[in-house]
Amino acid sequence: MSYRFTPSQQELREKTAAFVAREIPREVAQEVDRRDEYPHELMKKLGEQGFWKINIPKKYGGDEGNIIDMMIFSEEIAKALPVLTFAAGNVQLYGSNILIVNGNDAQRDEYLPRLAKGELKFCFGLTEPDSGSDAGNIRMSAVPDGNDYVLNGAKIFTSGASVADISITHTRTASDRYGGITSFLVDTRSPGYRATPLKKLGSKGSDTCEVYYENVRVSRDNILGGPECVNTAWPQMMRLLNGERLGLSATTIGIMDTVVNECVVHIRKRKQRVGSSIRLQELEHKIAEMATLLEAARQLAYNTASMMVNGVNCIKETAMCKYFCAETGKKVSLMGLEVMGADGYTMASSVQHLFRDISLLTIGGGTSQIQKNVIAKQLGL
Amino acid sequence: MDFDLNLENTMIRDAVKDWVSKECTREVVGQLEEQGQFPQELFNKLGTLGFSGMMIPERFAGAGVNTLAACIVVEELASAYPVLANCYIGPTFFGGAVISELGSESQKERYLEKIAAQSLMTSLAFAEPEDADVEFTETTAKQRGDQFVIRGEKAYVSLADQAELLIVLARTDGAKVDDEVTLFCVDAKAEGVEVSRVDTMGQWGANTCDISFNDVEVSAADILGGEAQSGKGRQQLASISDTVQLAYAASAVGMAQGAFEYALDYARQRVQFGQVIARYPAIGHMLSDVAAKTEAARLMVYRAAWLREQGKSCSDAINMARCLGAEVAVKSAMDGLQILGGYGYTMEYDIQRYVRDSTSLFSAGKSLDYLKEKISESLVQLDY
Repeated sequence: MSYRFTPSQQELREKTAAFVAREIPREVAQEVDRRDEYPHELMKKLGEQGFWKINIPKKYGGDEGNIIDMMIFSEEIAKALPVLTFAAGNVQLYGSNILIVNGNDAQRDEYLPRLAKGELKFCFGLTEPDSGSDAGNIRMSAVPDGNDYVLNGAKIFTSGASVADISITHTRTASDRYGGITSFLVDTRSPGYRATPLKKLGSKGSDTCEVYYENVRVSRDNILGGPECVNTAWPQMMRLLNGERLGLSATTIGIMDTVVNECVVHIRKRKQRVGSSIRLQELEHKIAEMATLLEAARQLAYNTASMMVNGVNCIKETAMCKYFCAETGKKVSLMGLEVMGADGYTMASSVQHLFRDISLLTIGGGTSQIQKNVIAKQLGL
Repeated sequence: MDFDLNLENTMIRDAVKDWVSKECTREVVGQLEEQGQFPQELFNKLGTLGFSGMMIPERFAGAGVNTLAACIVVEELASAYPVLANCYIGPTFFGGAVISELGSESQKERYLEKIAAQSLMTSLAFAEPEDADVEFTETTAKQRGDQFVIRGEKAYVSLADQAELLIVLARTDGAKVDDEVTLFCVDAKAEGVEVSRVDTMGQWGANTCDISFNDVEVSAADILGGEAQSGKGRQQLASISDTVQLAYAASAVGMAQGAFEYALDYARQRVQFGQVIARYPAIGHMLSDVAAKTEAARLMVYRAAWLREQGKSCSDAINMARCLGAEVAVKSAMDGLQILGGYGYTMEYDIQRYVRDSTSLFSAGKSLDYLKEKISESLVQLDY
C-alpha cells in the first residue's frame, strides 16, 4: 500500500518546487557552498512565502500541517540545497515543533506567532565534545541560583548556534543518567554565550558551531515546558525523534532525486554524442539501480510517515527509515560520482556538492549504528 | 614464493616512511591544503631523495628500473598526503616510465636525466572536454612540412599547471587510417599552450587543468618514439595505460591505508558508553573489513608491479588492482568518516581529506567502467 498525497500536499510540493526553481539555481547553491555562509537571504524569502507556517497550529496563525507536509518541503528544498533544510530546521523543527510538542502555553504564546513570521530562529544544543552517540552523557552543568539557573560547559555540532535567537540547551541537573537532564530556552544574547562556526566537508552554510557557556544565567521559567519539567529533557527529546528521523530521510530523498537526474542527463548527452554503445550498459544499469534505491527509500519514508500521522507506534520504523535512507543516499551519491566521472568531481557539479552534504546524514540525527541499536532493541534483542 | 620485500625495497620503504613522518606532518599538510597550493617545497625535497629515477634505466642516469619500489614510494606518500603521491607520479611514471619505454633515443637523452635529477613534471593530455575515449579525440595535429601544428582542447589533465613536459594525444592529419592518432612530446611552455585550473572536490594542490592548444608547433621528431611512430598512438596508449593505472592503483592502496590508520587511531581513543569505540563490533569489524580489503589490493598491486617488471602480460592484473584499489580507498575513507562521526566531518580532522582525495580515483586516468571493460574484453576473448 502506497501513501497518497492530498491535494493540499500536492499544492505544497508544487509551491516549494516553484520556489526552488525561481530562487535556487545551481549558481546560488554553489555560492552558498563556496562562501560557507548561513543562507539568510533564502531564509527570509522562505518566510515571506509562508513556509514557516507549515507546521504551526492554526490558533497561532499557522497551516497546521503534519510531518508529511514537512517532508515534502524538505525533499523539494534538498533537491537544490540540502543545507537549507537544516537552516529551515532552525525555525520549523528546533523552534516550532519543539514548542508544539514540549513547550507550555506561555512559551508557545510567546514564540510561535513570531516563528510563523520568520522573526526567530532556534538551535538545538545537545551534543557535547564527549557525548555524541552517547547522548545521555551530558555534562553541561545548570546550577540553581534563586529563580535562575547558571549554565557552564560546552556544546559542539550545534547547527545555527551563532545565528539563532534561542538555543534549546540540554544540561545536567541531577546525577541520574537519563532522568537528570533539563532543557532550557537560552537567549543567545545572554552574557557568557559564545558560538563559533566549524569548517566542514559539506553542509556548508549550516552555521554548525562549537558553543561555550560561561555562567550563562537562565530563569527557571525558561525550562522547556516550564519549571515542572526539570529533569525531563530525555523523554521530551524522545518525543521528537520520529519526526526528526523522517525529516532527515526526506532530505536524503531530495538529494538522491537530483543525483539520479544529473546522471540521466549526463549519460543521455554522452549517448547523443557518441551514439548508443553496449559499453554504456554498466553506467545505465548503475543509474537504474540508483533510481530503484531512491524509489524504495521514498516509499519507505512516506509510508512510515503515514504511520506516524495515523498515531501508530513507529519508533522501529522511523529508525529503519533514517538508517536506510541515509545509507542509501550515501551509496547513491557515491554511485553518482562514479557515473559522472571527472565532470562530477569538479566544484561546478552538483553531484559532488550533494555527496559532501549527504555524507553527514549517516552521522547527524543519530548515526546508522545508533539507529541499528534502536531497531535491534525494538525487535526484542 | 617469497612475500618479504627484498633488502633494497625494504630500505626504500623505511626511508620513505621516515621521510614522510618527518616532512608530511599534519600541520604541514593541513596548511598546504588550506592554501590549495602546489606543495613546491615538499616536492623539491622529495626530488633530492633520488626516487624520481626509479622507472629509468641506469644508462640514462636513472636508478635502474624498480617498478615495485616506485609503487611503494607512491603508496607511502599517498598514505600521508595523496596530493604529493600525484606529484611524484607525474615525473616518475608519466615521464620516466613512459619515455624510457616509448621514447626515441633523442627524447630519452633530452628528458630522462632531467626527470631523474630534477623531477621534471610530466602530464598526460589525453582526455577532452567532451569525452575521455581515444576514438572521440578531436584535437588535431596538422602536418606542415617538417612540423605539426596542434589545435584543440584537452580536459582534466592532472598537474598541467606545473608540467614542463606534456604528452599530447592528437588526431594526425595525413594518417593512413581515419582514426589514427599520434602522441607528441610538447613543451608545456611552448607558444599557444594555455593552461587553466579547474576547481575540484579534492586533490587540492595537484590541480586538475584544462589545456587549450592554439596552433602549437612541434616537429616530427617530437612524436613520442620518433617520426616512425606517427599514427601509432593507439598501441602506445595501451602500454601507457598500464603504467598510469599501476601508479593510481598504488596510490589507492596508500590512501586506503592512510585513512584506515587514521580511523583506527581515533577508534582506539574515543570513548562512548564507557568503552573505547574500537571495542564495539560495529566499529571494530568495519575496520577489520577495510584492513582485509586493503591487504588484498596491496598484494594485487605488488604482483602487478612484479609482472610488469618481468615483462609478462600485466594489463589485467593492473586494471584489477586499480579497480579494487579505488573501491577500497573510497570505502576506507567513508568508513573512517563514519567512525570519526561529527569530528570527521570537520576540516580539523584529516579523514575528510581522504574522502575528497580518494573519490578522484573514480576517474583518475580512466573511469572504472572503462577499466572493467578492458578486463572483461581480455577475459571473455570475444571479438567485439
